[in-house]
Amino acid sequence: MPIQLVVRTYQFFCSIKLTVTLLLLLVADLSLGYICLQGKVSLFQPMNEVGLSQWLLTYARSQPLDSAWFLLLLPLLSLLGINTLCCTGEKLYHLVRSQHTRLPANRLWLTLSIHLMHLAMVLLLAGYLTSYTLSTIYPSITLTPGLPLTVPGSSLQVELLEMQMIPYSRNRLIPFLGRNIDVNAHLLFKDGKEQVHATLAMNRPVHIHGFSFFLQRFNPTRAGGMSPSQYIIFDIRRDPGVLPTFIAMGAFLTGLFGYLFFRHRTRKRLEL
Amino acid sequence: MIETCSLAAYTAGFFIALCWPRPFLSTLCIGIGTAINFAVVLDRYNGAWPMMPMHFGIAGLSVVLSFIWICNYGTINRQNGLRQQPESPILLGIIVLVVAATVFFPKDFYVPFLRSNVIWSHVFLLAGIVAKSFLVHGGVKAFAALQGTQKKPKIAALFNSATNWIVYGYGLLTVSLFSGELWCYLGWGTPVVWHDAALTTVLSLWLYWTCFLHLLFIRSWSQKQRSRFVVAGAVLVLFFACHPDMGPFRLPFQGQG
Repeated sequence: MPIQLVVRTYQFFCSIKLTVTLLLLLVADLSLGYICLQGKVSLFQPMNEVGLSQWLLTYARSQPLDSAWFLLLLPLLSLLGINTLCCTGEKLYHLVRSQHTRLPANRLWLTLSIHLMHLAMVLLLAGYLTSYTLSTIYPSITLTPGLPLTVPGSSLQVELLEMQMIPYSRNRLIPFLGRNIDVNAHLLFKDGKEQVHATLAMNRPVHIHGFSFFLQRFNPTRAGGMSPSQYIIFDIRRDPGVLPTFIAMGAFLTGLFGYLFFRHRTRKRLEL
Repeated sequence: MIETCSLAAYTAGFFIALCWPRPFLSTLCIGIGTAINFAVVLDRYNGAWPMMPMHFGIAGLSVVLSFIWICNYGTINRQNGLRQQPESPILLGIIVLVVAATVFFPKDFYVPFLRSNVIWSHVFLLAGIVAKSFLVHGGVKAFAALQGTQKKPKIAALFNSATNWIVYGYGLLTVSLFSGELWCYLGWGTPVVWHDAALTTVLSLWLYWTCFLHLLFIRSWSQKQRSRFVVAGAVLVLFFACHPDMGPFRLPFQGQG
């Protein structure tokens, strides 16, 4: 009886009709999310700082109607992941075991490209889940020159040595005239006797000893401005989900290019 | 003001194509409209560089759709006339509506933000615009395939052509989505920021077209049903491409000295 139940559940998840249903539900849910997000941006911003579980227990709990679409998104994405894994697993099994191995080369590569995209999708979803559940985040840490600090939960020390401001060099945007649009923050990392120099900037994080440093803000934003004090504000993250996510993206793109390339070369199209 | 000139040229081109069989004249009007529109869009992009211009998608969409029209229908019209290309006036109508939305509902007054000073933000924006244009064009072709006046082989050809546009649009949408995630990671430290509606809309569209690609494998769905699905998808693309970038209603010359 339990075996029958497992088989039935597996067969249920192997259905392409389930895929279509889940995808349409996800589209409807995200469209609802788009409507809910209008003017409610601040509700979702803290998720990147406190992590998914803490966000669910605090912000989502306090505003259940506005976050309902996101709460629905999580099980839908999980079901899609299971569905994709089951479908692809079954198709790959048949590809290896049955007569499909005698497919023409182009058709075989086309099929493999599609399967690669599906497997990448599963890895991508797993990466997101890992990222949101297992990552450690220390948000909004302020660092000033000459005052080193220790990264929480480690013996790693970080010191801001110098800030090299990058001003807006054009004259098209009036609000940006005389304003610094980026900074090269020269950091010194110390762990015991080991010393490493690195430069942190906007969109240029620093990765060291499993930690990643992301610049959020800096000061001064203007030369000769009201607030001349020098400091940077950054987030420290230890995120085990990032690597699988980027591997999955690379694999998906490889599969996609394979699909586009071999789709043209395959004379007998897949119903296209 | 200059956008109004491009809207006038597009509208003239649309009505000439619809009512007066002078393909050269309509192509000329659309060409003029596109040249003006492209210059405006290029100037906006140049103004915001090295950052990403805000609420730029709708303006970019009108330019790419215009280029698609000129490349696909501008010359063909001369040989075959509009009856053989029913999708041509439909696409022109959409272009006129999109340009009218940029003129009457502008939202180009926002200052770019610092974190968009990275190549991936530009890839996210530009690939997204081209992808959405391809998907809208695919929808237009599917709409033409649904018209009762078409012959069966022509319907099949139109649907196949629509599918080709959609497949390439989907590919570009994937590039846009992944670039957006890469940008999110570099800027915010996480691959997805849920507070940004732009990523939510791209993800929604991406899932919709993923669904379409899966529908091709379900035999019980007829070509007509799939075409309807594509048309509905094109409407969704237009909504998500235009609505976030539309501001309050404003007359073109309002507030100008």
